[in-house]
Formats: sequence, C-alpha cells, structure tokens
Amino acid sequence: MRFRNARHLRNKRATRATGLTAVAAACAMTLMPASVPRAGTILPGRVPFTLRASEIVAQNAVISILGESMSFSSATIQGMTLTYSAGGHTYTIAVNGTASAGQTVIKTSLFSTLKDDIGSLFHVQSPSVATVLADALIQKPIPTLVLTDVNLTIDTSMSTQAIQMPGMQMSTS
Amino acid sequence: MAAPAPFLLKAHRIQAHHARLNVLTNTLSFQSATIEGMQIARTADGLTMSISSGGVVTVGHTKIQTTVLRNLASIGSFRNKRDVLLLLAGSTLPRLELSRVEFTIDGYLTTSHADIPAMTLSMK
Repeated sequence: MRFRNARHLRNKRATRATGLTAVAAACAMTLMPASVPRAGTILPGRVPFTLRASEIVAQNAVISILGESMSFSSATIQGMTLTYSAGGHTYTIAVNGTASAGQTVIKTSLFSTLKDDIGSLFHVQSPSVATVLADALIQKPIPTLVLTDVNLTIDTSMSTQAIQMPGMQMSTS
Repeated sequence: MAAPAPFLLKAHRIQAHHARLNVLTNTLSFQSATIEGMQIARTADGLTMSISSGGVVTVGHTKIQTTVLRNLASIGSFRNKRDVLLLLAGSTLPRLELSRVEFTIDGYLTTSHADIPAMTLSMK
C-alpha cells in the first residue's frame, strides 16, 4: 500500500513536472515570438507582380491570413493593370474598360503579414476594415467586398476560372 | 524602336481571321482569333512570370508589334506555307492558321478584348 502510494506520488510529480515544462515552453514561446515581417513586406527570394485597380467589387470574398490567399466567386475590376518589373524592364498588361473575373484565387505571402494592418494593401470601402480583418482571421466569406485604389503585390500566383479583359494591352518598357 | 525586353507568346494553335502583316511597321493584325494552349512568359533575373490558359482564348481585333515579325517564316508555324508569301506581299488573309507558335514580342500586343478561360498567372 505504502509502495503503491509512493509510486502514485512519483507519477503525480512526473506529470506535474511535465506540465510545468510545457507551460514554461509555452511561456518561452509567448515571450519570444518568431519575428513577423512588417505588413507589406515581401518575403526574400520572391519577385512579385503588382495588381492595380481603381476599384474591385468582389462577390463572396474570402481572405485567409493562414492560407495566405484571397478568393472570390466573381469580380468586376475597373482600371486594371498588372505589372512585373525585372531585369530593368517592366512588363505591363493594361485593361481599358471593366474586366470581369470568375472564381479567382490570389496567393501572396503578404496576407500573412496583415494581422494588424489589412488596410496597407488596399482601401476597403465596404464592409469596414475591422469587419474585413475579423472575417479574414476566421476565413468568413464577405458577400460583397468593395476595394478602391488597389495596389496589391502578388508574389505567388493568381488563377481564375475565366477573365474577360476589354481593350487589353501587353507591353514592355 | 521597340524595347529590347521581349516576352514570349506560345500557343498550340492560333486561328486568326482577316490577318494582315505590315513589314514597314513590323505589325501583324487580325480581326479576331482563337488561341489554344496559350502561354505568355517573361523571364528576367532567372525568374519567369507566366500567364497561361487552360482553355481556348478568344481575342477581338488584335495588333502585335515586334521587330522579329520578319523572321516568322523561319519558325515554321504556318500551316499553309503559301500564307507567308501572301502576307509578305501585303495580302489580307481571310483565315490564317498557325501551329506550335513561339512568338517573341518586343513591342506590344493590343486587342479590343480578350476572353481568357482558366487563366493562371504565376511566378517561378
């Protein structure tokens, strides 16, 4: 009986020690967080392209901070330009009219840095910036997302089910 | 003079309507076209930005300006080789068919509209 009690006590101490170690590790992680890039910082080794638009009205938009992505079921894009600068030259696709995109997914590491500043990438007109940020944290779809003066740096990819671009011009300079 | 920073237009097949070549301005134009297996790529600093389509791209009135148009005949894309001569002579071809196209464009490409299904824009 005494032996069993001693063993029980030893197990209890071991469990407690393990628990304390875990708590200490958690505290250490809390006290020393990994360095998070500043909002708007491109990760090293990525050469981005830039999506600019005077206005984007997106339906069923989902911004995922953890997934580093933004998706929407459809969108209209006014004043759209895509630019890619490398080797001292800039490659541009400009649309003279309103582009219409179907189901679209934009992946960029920038979304991972937006925990405190979703407005650093674009001007959210509707709903509020706070709502967009809150929805981005839980990946909640936003029925209609209106952005203006968009200047979005994309360092991974953009794919769309279909896109119609009136008055499209591709050029290098 | 065109900028020395070309991008590459690749396609499995291009069917163009009312195609015309202007050798003085190095411009190829057509009223409309369908483009299968389209990929547009721009490589610089060891990285390539590409736009590709997984479907048939439809474009309206289009102009392509590039200094390498005069080398079209050497790339063997013309399904009907006689079309090269007709284009160089200034004819307008009601229908022009190109296959395994690799077009280096160092000027510009403009189109009245472009419908691009299954478009992917990516960096590698």
